[in-house]
Amino acid sequence: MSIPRRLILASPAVLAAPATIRAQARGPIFVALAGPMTGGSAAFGLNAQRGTELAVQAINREGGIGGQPLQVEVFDDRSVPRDAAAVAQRIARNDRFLCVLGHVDSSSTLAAMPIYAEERIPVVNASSSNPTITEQGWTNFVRLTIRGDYGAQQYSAYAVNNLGRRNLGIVFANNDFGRALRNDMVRAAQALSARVAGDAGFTPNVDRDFSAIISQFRAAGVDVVMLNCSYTEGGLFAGQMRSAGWSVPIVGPDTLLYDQFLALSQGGAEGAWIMAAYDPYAERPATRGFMDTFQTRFNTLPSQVAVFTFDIYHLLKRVVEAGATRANLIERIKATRFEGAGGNYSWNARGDVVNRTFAVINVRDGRFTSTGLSVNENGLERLRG
Amino acid sequence: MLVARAGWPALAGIVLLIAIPLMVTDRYVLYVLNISMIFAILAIGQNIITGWCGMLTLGHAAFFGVGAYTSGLLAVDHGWPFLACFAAAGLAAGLAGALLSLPCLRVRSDFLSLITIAFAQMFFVVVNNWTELTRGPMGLPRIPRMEVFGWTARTEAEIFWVIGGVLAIVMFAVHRLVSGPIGRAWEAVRDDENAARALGINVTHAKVQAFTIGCVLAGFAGSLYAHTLRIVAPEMFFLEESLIIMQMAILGGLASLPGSLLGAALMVGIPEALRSGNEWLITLRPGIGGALLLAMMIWRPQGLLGRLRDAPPFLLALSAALRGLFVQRSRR
Amino acid sequence: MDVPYLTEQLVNGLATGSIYAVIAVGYAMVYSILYLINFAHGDVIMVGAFAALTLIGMAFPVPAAILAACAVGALVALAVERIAYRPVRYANRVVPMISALGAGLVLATLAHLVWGPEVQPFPQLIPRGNIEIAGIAVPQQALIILGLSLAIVMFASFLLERTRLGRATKCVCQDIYAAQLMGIPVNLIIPLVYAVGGFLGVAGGILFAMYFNAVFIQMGLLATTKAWAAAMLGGVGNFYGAALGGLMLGVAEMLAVVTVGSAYKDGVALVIIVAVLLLRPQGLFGRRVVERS
Repeated sequence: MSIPRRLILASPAVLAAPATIRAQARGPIFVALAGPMTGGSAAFGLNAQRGTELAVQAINREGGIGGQPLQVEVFDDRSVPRDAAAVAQRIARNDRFLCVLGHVDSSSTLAAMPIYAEERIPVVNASSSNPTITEQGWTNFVRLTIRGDYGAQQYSAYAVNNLGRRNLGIVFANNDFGRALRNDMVRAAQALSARVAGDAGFTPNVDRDFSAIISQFRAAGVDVVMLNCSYTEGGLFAGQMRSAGWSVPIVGPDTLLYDQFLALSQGGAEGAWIMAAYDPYAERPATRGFMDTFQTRFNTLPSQVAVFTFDIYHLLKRVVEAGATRANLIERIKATRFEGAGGNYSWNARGDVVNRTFAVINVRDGRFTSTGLSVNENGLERLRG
Repeated sequence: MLVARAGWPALAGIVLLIAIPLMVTDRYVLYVLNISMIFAILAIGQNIITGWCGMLTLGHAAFFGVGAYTSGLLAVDHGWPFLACFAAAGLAAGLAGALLSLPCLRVRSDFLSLITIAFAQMFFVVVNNWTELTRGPMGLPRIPRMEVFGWTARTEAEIFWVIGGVLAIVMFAVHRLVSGPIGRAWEAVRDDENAARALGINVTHAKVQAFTIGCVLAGFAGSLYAHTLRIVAPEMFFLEESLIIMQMAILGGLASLPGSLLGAALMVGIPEALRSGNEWLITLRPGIGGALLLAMMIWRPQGLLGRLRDAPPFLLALSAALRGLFVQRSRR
Repeated sequence: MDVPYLTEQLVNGLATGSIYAVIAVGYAMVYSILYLINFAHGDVIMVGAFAALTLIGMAFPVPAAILAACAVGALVALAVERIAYRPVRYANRVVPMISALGAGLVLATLAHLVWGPEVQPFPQLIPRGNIEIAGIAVPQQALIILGLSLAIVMFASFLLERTRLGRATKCVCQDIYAAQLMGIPVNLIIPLVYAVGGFLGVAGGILFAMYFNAVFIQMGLLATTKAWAAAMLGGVGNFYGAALGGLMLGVAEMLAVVTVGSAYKDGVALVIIVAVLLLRPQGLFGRRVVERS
């Protein structure tokens, strides 16, 4: 039952709506945004807030959701599981919220989900990629970002098939994000008949000296570096590679797709390949519109968190105006096909997005540029099945 | 006598413990109280080591983590019932504490703090990397709830009763300890080791005892934490947590039982009260903590609830000196 | 493992080690006088490094910016001494450490407010590239850092050995009361030592920033742990011991990466601290000091 987008984007006239909407919409529609607004991961929370700001403006300018204004309340979990649980308790204490948009990092989401599941509060997630989240059997969860294991396979396939490299050097941040990626990459490398020549972890937010790892990788004959970390250490690593006079291609996830990655590398990021879960340079009006607005307003590249957050609000608007309530929100989302700034989305029964491919971004002349290439998945079939 | 001395406050405490979950229905408030009580147990343990026995330990969170992981792993990987996990957690943490303190006794007191810091960080590094055992940075989700003889604590109120019960027992036991000869021995060691030795107190024995008991309490707290949050992850036991526990003990009053309660309640409660609002306040929290420490050292070395009479003499001397500094310039 | 690889790693280890050495020397100087673990030292360094970044960003000429930042470090160290240490100088050792911790936290929060939580890139001041030595390509940057660190340590050593200030400091180290009796202005010397310690520390911090191209708030804690391990290894309070300890720590970390794996690199410093404290508390070159109560 999908209403053509034209109708929804039209004026409040569309809101001679079915009784379900009118009956429940007696006041603003509240959504809870949960993520790290302070602390080491504050940059991600900031992106979520920015995506929220743009979405709320756009939606309320068009009359809100079902005629009611959209209001978002922000909760800070500092990326700490204890705080995430506290936030979940706080959100769960009353019935105000239509759903929760969050959390950002996977451990916080894992800590908060039991509480949301108990209270049957829907959770629509923009950025937690850990595969175990959708394997816990929670039926109130749906996410827009691509699962980490699928991602790891894509990054490896790109390095091996597209770039033709056989000796992978895997660098990873020793947290839930990096380590999970590394594990899946090792498996993918096996399936692709490539060698893991280097395998080095570091303590995120503590370890900033990679000279030893670089020397080690170089001596082991690594011909492509898989950078599984966020833009801070990624940028430093690339810069130190350049200092050491070692230039091999770098392949990394979209946690590197930040201007600070380029700044911190001081030129070392040139030529790096980034696999983004959305294509920031796609020639689609929705994407272009969002990118331009974001760039004008905040003067920086939006991250994947910002894009997916933005899309979630529009997704909610679509589904609620089509008659979804808090009780069936997740099922309705899973049954929807949605097109947003980040591309096309459809979901499987577990809440993961399906049929999404990574966009290949290249760093050229000190800037991120779209390549329009796609990942050659030859060999990955052995892992799926 | 002992009961009489502990009398009124204890009775009031027990009544409160039973009544609060019946009166307070907001699950968030109960949750915050639960976490406060867990940290109160931690603060009491810290207080035993630092407040009553005078050893500066800055790695208490590591023993907290030992307890939490022991309890969680036994429950998830081996299906042990909660009470057994709880006991094992205390045992494991206590053992770790004893093992750590034994060789450290020959080390100068100011170095003990360094060793405890190092141990805390080593614990984190090991837990983060030994993924086969601890699942590493991904943490251990789906820890079962607490259950006592077949009855499972499901709601925040029921969890409150379990944690509250443990806290009450701990407070009673610790009160007996510190009011008796063991506690007095600790205080003697804290105030002047040589004199204590001259009086026939086995200083080594007292120190190891205090350290071990403090760690056992941390282990129990860890078990409660693991089964309340139902997830453990290495980042829950950073060095920062140790500093926070230390601050709780100091704020509330070193060598004060009610002080530990108050310190924990304040340091858990205030950030929660500030949660939905002001971003500035949240950013400032560590700075506020640091400034608080400084201010406490200067003006109220016995903490908010410590009794001046009980304040360690070194703190009293310090306070007088500091006040002298601020009231009139002193020349040395 | 072939020679060029090992040499490269060795140079890496020595370069990082020399940075630790410069910072450790600052610690050692303070500790040798007052037997205080200066928990705030790392945060002083961090503030100084950020100050350098800001000054360079404001287009100050680089050498001036660095000197100014070191001076800032000295000033901050002085402030910390006055507020957090001086009042408690003669009290039981536990207390000043607690106030040092507090001071460190306050500094870290101030830095967070002024410069924000993100890692800031530090400009590449030392030219990159390799130098051929005996047929092995050695990174130029590492060598320059090594050289600069040695120069700084030697300068500090010169201060200590050849100047009246240095001699007075050594007197105060040996016996603070006797020094007072001899007319040495102890109340001047002590803050001065803190200031010099802060100055040196920030110099080390800037070297760190130059080598890794980054300044960040946590570098305070990092500096604290590593420099402490270095100072303990060499023998706390022993100036040259601290410098040597730093070099050894750098090499030890490099060995750990080569053998066990990079994830455990930070553990090396901790293991060293614990091992030294338990097995040989006076470090490799220190004198055995009797426990004070």
